[in-house]
Amino acid sequence: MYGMIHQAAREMVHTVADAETWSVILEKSGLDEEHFISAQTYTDDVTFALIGAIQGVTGMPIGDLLAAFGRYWIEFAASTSYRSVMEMAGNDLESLLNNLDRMHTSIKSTMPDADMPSFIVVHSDAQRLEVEYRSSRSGLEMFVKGLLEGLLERFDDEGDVSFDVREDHVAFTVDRRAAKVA
Amino acid sequence: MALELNKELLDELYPARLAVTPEGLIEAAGPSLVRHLGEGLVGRKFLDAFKFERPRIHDVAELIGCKQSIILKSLFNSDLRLRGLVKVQDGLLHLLVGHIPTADGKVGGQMLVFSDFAPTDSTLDTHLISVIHQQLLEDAQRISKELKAKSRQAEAANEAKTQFLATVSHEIRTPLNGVLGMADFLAGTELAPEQREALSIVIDSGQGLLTILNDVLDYSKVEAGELELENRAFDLAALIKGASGLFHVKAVEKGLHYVSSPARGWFMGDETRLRQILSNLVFNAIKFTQFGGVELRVEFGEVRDDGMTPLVFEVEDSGIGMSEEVQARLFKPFQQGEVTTARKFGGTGLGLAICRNLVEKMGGEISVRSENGRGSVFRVELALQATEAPALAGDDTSESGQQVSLASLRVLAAEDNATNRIVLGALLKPMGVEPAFAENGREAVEMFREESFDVILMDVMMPEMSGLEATRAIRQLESNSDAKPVPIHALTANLMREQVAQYLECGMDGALGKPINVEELRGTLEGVAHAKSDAQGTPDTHNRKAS
Repeated sequence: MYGMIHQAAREMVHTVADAETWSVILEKSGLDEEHFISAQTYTDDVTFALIGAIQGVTGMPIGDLLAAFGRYWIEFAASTSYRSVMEMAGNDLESLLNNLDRMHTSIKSTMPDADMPSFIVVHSDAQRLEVEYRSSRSGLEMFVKGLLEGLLERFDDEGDVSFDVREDHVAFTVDRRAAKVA
Repeated sequence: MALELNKELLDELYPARLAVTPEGLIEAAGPSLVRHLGEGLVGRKFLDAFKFERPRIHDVAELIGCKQSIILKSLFNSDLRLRGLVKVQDGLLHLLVGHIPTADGKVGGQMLVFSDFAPTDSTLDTHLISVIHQQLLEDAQRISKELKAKSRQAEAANEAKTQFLATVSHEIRTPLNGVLGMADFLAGTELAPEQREALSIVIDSGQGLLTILNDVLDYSKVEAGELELENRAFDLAALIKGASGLFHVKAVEKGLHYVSSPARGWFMGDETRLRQILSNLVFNAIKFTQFGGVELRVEFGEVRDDGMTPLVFEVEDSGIGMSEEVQARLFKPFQQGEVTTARKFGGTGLGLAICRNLVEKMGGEISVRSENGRGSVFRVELALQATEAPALAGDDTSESGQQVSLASLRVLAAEDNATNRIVLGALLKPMGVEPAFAENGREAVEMFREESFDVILMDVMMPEMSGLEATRAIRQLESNSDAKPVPIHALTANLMREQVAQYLECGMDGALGKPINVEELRGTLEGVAHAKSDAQGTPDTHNRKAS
């Protein structure tokens, strides 16, 4: 994964904990300054070492941690130079999801080593939005769930996010009815 | 079958396109332009809505046959700029243009979105690259800041370490002064052979410890950038000859031979520090050599255009030698040849680091050639300014050659440390001198008011009144009574150049180091005695009380 993910993890720990906690996590993960270059692609084991160290130090269940990280990622990306790109990608959930693949295509053309996931909106109406998520990585469903929740929050929208692991993709559903009823 | 560019396809490929009639009316606009500039765009006069930035033309008709790329600017929204080509088809001017994004991606407060760009347009990629570039710059700034902070922390830790070493060394030196002083005193008394042998071990061990402490203090000064070099005329031949006497003794004690090549000439430089460098190299060579010997060679080069003479000092031994790996870390602080070296041969590993610093401060270079088991050659290359030998004063010989009695000297010694008072008293006794002691600066001034003295030995750091304050007070009393100033010599472990300058500035005549060097002390007192002897026949104003 690319270094910006590592930067986001660092900022999240600083936000919810403190610099001292981060020092402990960094030491446990074995990462150092060279692993925090935003546009540099790192092997997944580096990223997983970092996530594992955060989980080890905070004691959070891995699913909760990934979901929290997904939500934080949206907030973090919007605080960096990528803010304008996010704004260009759309100002509602559906538009942004529809543009994500195009954004990832652009990033991939610049960073050929980056392994980018795919998001295809297969259904959208006032009650429900369904999106198919495909990635060469497995086990990141809770991270994507957090991303979708983060996007809902970004667009002042409401909804429950659930997912179903299928054979070649993961089907995510944003159920807007539940939120509206509530 | 040729691809037919219908409206839908054109809107997809050129979301910001324009179609203009030869009369200059906008007949069609892409969905992106309609979104940004409104439905009313279609039907307007082109020149009421846009102007040409490039080419510099003012009439739509001039676009016919235009093969250049064009840049348009909206007259409604100055952030909205378009670039592309002009094609004429079916009697219309087709401006196949796309957006030029602003740095923040906004045009007139409204964000450009992905759908404003054709999927084949790489403008978005370019925008993304500029974003990535910006982010990388921020990364670089952050990393640079972090590294600077770490470097500052490391420097502060290093400074603290150096300061700690300097303080500890200084604190150890004071009691060591007592040990060595009393040992020197004992050596001058009658002793049984086995007592003399034991005392000689005490003195040797104490001197060894003193060398280590001096190394640490020297290195602390180097680290703190406080080491300053003298630039005075010195006789190189005398330096080599003088130092070689001791080198020869040390070599012979170990069953080695020592030879040095003859040197000549007077040069400007720091004689003491050059002697320190050569001593370090020669004593090291002796330490690491079991058989054979050590040679000190001095070679002179041709005088350069800038008047400097290149000098090469080489110290060669037939000792244990060392590998290239060891040579690489040899001049670094706290490093020795092997881990076992410190245990086997002793030492701090600072000597060569100090040598390197001194040589570099002199503008020279130090290097080593060696092989395991085949000895070593240490080489120091310097360029020094040659100078004339100073003329000898005719009276000097008679003065210095003449033995004077120190017994009649009235010496006041201000020293707060009881051990140091005992040591000083013991060292002065064989010279026939019985000093009067003051325990602080205030007492020294009071005693000076009451009695006459030929010389005052003044500790610098004392309670109640420092040596500097006491000196100023004494000089003031002398000035008030028009008395001839009594020689005052600082007796202190703090002999850095700027410290000595401070002593002289406040009215002292010189400074002696601690631990006390007996010969140095004797020399100073002899100087006072000579001056006193010369002054006989003239009124002895020293004896006038400056009250």
